Amino acid sequence: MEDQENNFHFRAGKTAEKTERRTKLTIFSDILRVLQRSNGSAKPTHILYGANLSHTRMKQYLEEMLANGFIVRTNEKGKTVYKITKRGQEFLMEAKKIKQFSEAFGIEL
Amino acid sequence: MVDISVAIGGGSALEVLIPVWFYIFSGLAYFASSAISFAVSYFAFRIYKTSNSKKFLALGIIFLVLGISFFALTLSSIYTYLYVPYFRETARIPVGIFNTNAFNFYYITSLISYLLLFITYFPKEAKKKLYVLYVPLWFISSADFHTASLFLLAFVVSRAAYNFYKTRSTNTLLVLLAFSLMAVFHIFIFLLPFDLTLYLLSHALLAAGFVSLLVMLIRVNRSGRSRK
Repeated sequence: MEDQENNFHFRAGKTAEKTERRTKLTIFSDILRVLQRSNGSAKPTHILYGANLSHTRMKQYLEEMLANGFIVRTNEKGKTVYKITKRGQEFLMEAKKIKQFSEAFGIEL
Repeated sequence: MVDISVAIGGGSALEVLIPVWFYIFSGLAYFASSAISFAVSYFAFRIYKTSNSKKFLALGIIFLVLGISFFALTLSSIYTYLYVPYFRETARIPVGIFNTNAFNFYYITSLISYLLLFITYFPKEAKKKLYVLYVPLWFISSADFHTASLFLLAFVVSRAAYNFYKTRSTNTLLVLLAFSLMAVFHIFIFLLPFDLTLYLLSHALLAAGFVSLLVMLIRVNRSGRSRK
């Protein structure tokens, strides 16, 4: 049997989930996933495309994530960069568990 | 053959007919079911805290209530194991008000949890059709309780089967297995008058169902650790 857990990703963009409304948990996970894939840090434009968000929504979510300590904002060569924190990595792992658990029971988040 | 209404009552007749050591076995099965229910409930509450999803709040309550109801049966089994030999020696009818209360508590609480499970799995777009629940929710005997439980669990099993059909993942299969074995437990309790060894088998299957939920929980926890 093909085990879908191994193919698990917090996918964003052109996926089957695109038509469904994403929860805040999924959006946070998508953003953190983008940062993790880019060796822990990414520019806002990268996050915008990677997590499939509008500029306004991205700013709003990034502020919330900064307040929660999931990411930190730094300045590299005069450009703003967001970095994933240890707390953010823990949140990402927790979100993965949540996704698997909800899928097992067939209950949508 | 034993009269069904008496035999599935979990009351005095069974206490006489079933060998006393069976109660150690059933006690262990109930304890395992109770502990695993609490673990699932804890996990569901944790998800509710993070996601604010009411469905997970419901799932947490369902397994909390189920855990409490199986814990009541654990106590009842221990009580029966300890006191039935004494009742037999003194030729007293071992009704035991403690056991009667424990079983009534179990009937009510587990029926509440099955009902909540039914509602949780009921399609959102068809919620207005929940009048189907008027069918067998009243009960005056354990036979009614097992009928109602089977009715509710049959629907839950069908939804879990549909979920497995859609996802084809091991975790959904484990949940399907758990609900199916819970339903089989109630069927076997019905068949108890025909063969008392089914008492052992039914409890073994009930415990196996909850163990499959435990395996699912372990798999979910392990998956969270891998960062890929």
